[in-house]
Amino acid sequence: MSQAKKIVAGVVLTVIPLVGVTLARQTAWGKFLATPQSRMTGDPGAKVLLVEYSDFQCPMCARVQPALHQLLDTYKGKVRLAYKYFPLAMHKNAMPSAHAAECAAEQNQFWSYEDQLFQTQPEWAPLADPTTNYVAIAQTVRLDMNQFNACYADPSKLALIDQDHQEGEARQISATPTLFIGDERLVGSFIETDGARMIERELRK
Amino acid sequence: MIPQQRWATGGSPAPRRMSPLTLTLCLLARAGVGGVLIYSGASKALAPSAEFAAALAAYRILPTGLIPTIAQVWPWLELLVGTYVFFGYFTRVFAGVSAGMFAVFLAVLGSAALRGINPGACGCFGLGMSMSPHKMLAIDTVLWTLSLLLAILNKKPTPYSADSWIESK
Repeated sequence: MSQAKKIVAGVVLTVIPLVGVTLARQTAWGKFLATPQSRMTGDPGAKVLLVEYSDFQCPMCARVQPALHQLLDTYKGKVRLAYKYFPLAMHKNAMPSAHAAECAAEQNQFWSYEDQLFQTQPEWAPLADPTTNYVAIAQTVRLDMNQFNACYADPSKLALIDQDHQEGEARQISATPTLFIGDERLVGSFIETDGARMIERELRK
Repeated sequence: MIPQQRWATGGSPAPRRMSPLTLTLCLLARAGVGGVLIYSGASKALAPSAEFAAALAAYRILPTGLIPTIAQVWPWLELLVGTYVFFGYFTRVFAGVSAGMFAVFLAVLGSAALRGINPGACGCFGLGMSMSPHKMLAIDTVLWTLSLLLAILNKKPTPYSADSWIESK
């Protein structure tokens, strides 16, 4: 009797949590919301879409940039990259930097601005007010400064950033950078180590 | 009776009744250790395993090739061990297993601290790793101690446990 009870208890306490969590798991996330053309790069006819959720103040996001550029070069014509904002609450300058980048996107200079933001990240990340740095970057990438300043003062741009963030949360993103390659995702340093393999797999589909 | 069964059920040779203090400690340890492992395992298992894999990689202690497999298996292990401890199934055995798991956490956290690695800072984990390494070390030390105490002190089935149900006539 005791042996049977042990087996019954073991089966119940094993099956219920396993089945419960398996049923509660989200396994499909649907299609991505459209990303503005200004935040997309690569051949519009490319077979594979890479979607990067990133935070300009995140050190790992800065670290993976060379790997991402390398992937875009290696698979030129085959992959396209879309950038989505995912500013983390733990980074106080993540939202202002995304705001500044969106103002560069408005002038079709998102990618050069993004590049500069990541390259100068250690300089502006610790600042209480990094506005001067963002203005300097805007000048470096030759933005129309009146338009940039007006945009940066306009809080309505933040809605676009929030929209990306909410989409990321619905996709269960909790860390940056997260790169989607088709339905699969790579997080953090795995973008550097597994990016090419995942793209190859997606191209074979 | 084989030793494991004696551990699981606290059967013969029947020791004296547990003191109220020991009993309370065992119940609290079951709820605390089991509850934390269930929450931790379920939240990781519900999230895409790539998220946990990235967190593991940030500690720079495991071979990269092994990380995706560990990231897929470990959350389920936490969930099951937590469930067994919480509901008091083979309590002493699984309290011992959970002590081993917390010892692994402590070794990983301690190693990262000694090497000056702050995984929360070098990866960017918005939700999953908002605690400082020192706070995580403190919490894991408490849970490791509770697991060990449970493995040592829980000589008889505690109330509201699968072990006591198994022992009952």
